[in-house]
Amino acid sequence: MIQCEHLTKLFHGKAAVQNLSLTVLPGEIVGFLGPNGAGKTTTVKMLTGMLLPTSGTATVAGFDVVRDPLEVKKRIGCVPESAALFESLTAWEYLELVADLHHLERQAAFRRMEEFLTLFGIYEEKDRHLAAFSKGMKQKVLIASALLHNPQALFFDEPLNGLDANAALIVKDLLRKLAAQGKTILFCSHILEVVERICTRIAIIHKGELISQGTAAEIVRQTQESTLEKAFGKLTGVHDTGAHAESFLQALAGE
Amino acid sequence: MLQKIFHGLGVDYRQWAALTRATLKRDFRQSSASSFSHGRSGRGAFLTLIFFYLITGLAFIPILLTTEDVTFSVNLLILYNIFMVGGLILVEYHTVVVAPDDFLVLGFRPLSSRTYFTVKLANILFYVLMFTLVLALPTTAAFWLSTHYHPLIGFVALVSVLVANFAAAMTVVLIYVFLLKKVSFHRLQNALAMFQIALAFLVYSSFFIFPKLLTRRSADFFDLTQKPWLAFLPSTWFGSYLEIALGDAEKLHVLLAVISVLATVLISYLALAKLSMSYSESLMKSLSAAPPVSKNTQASFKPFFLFAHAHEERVVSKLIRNQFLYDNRFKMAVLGILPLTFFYLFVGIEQGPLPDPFLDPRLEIGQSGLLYLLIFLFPMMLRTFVTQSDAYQASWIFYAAPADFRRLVIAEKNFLMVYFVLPFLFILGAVFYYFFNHTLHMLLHILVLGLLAHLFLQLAFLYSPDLPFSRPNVRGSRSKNLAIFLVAAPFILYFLLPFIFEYVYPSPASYLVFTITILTVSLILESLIQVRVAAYLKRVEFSG
Repeated sequence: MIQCEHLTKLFHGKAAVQNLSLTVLPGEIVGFLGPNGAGKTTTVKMLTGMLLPTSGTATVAGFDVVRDPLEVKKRIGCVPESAALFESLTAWEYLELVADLHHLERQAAFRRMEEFLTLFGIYEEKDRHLAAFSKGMKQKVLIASALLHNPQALFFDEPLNGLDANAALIVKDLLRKLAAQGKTILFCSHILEVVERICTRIAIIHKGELISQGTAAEIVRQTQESTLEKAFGKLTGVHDTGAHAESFLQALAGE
Repeated sequence: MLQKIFHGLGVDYRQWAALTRATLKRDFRQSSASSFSHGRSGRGAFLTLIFFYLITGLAFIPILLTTEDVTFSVNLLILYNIFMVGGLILVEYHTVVVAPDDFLVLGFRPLSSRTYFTVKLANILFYVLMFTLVLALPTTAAFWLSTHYHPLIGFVALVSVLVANFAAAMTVVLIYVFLLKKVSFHRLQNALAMFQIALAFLVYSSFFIFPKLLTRRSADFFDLTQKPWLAFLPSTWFGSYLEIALGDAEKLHVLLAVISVLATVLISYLALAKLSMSYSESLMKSLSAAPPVSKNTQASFKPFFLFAHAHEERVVSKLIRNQFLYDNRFKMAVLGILPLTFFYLFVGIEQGPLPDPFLDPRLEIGQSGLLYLLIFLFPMMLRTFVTQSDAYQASWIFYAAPADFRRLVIAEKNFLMVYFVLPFLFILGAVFYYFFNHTLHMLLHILVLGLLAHLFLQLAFLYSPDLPFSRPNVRGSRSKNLAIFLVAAPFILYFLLPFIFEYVYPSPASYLVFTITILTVSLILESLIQVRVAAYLKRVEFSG
């Protein structure tokens, strides 16, 4: 389970996340939505023990992220938004490093690595440096590294970035099956269709504050809009997207 | 055994071993696709540095063989090692200390701070050990081979150099992490660039200072009883191990040896305590903060008259100009030539005024040769500085735009020549005029030097025709370039310049033939660069 109460993070006195309370139960996939700079990544960083909250509490897999960060980190898998990898390592070397950091039994880890890379269609590339990988291939390695140690809770921050259609389908199916196995999943994305399709619940954050949560249908109903897209726009203050597009075109025409 | 020790220290052995392995692999490779495809790696630069340091280490053997004063030799060796290894960690291997990527990749992994900084310690120790061995082992091995020294001396000398270098590296780490807490990473980068200039200044000046030291060497040079101020010199602390081993130690030597051990332990403790993941986190935050913007950033660009006529030339001139104005690292690297010029000028005139080569064709270049070397070193340095940048990933724009690569590279070379090399030649022209007191001689001399500098610049671009700021900063590459240049220096000093002075300058006809020859070679090289660029960059363009 992922649970946070009144979670707040201030940077130089400015709130990146404010008073956030959220619970993700085992077996749930919660879509965490918000415009750029809303505080999604900061929230994920606090929940994964990368950032200390300014105030509030958070527990993941039964451990407090401030008091027992190592215990939390042993039990989570994370695909960070930064997609940071040690790019001068090969895909295999990187996964091997992750397996060692999580104390996996080597032969079992190698079998799992082989399976994951084969499933993603990049096994043949396992000895190439990650720097030479495309964005999508790197994302596949990141997803494999997040799942390698079979974690209880998963944090996916824009996991579908750069993935080809087939890989995206695999990941979406995988998420559903992992949730069915009882994993707790927090899923950050800007792709509302995907969120609507795979998430059991949705939480929307704007300017650091949680402004709405519920199922997609509930949010649409609350905002009295016809689609989740429009509901999201209404909640985050973007009303006339057509006018915005028109302004861009006018700028182009005026060159 | 090691596992038990690590367990006792609260360090996860398996994580430590895996991460140390990965860290060294990363160090020896380069973190960019482009560098892989062009075969440029940290390993190449590292091996070149090792080779260069080995040569420097071997250079100490004659000092040892020509003096029977062991204390003098060892103190000099320690002093030189502290300076070289400390400087190397600070300038070339500072990413061992500053690795913000670590936090992004490892921040959510179950890795304790203690394990993390033990990995950092192992990494630093590796470099200290490698460079200490190549710098000090030849000399200490010579101690063993030398008949009038006891084998123990070699062993103790090696240990004292190793401990001294480790302490120097830890001091660098401590200074680094302390400064990072006080100033932003961007400001520290600028400070580091200035330090790099100072270091280069010291490296060059060492060629001048060490022979001076050697001519003054005497049995009492490092005699603490006669010169108590030596007790404040760290090399004396570590050098006192030798006195103890030889059985010549006085109370002061023992005290200094104890101080050296305590200082090393204290510095290491303080430095390593700060190398935790939380340090990596604060570093990452510091890096993600935008750098301070200069008030002039918004100033409109006024095209340089020579580079305003076509898009490629304008792009290159704007890019290099702005990089020079706002990237202090680049600016300092370029401006670093000035203190060197003044220093070498000072060294050059120590033996008397700079001689006019037109009046004395058989003149001995002597110490003024250093000044001449700069004319050839500067273009080579410029090419390195202008092609390497931390922001190299932005160079994708070259490949996305319908630009002519040949014109970009040629414009880059021309811009460096006109706006960097030429002003430098003007400064040298003023210096030569002051000493020659002959306008025509000065002009003719500067013309030849300018043509040769341009030729060297062309050769540098022919060797590697890179686009501006399109390469990652490869660890050790600047020191590698310097090492390569120092190998080429004797050719310039003992063949090229004497040839010009003796056979070119004496008659107008030979001068004319020589300048026309240089111009012809230049024209050929210009065409060759274009051919090479076309082939080379086409490969780069489609290599991902």
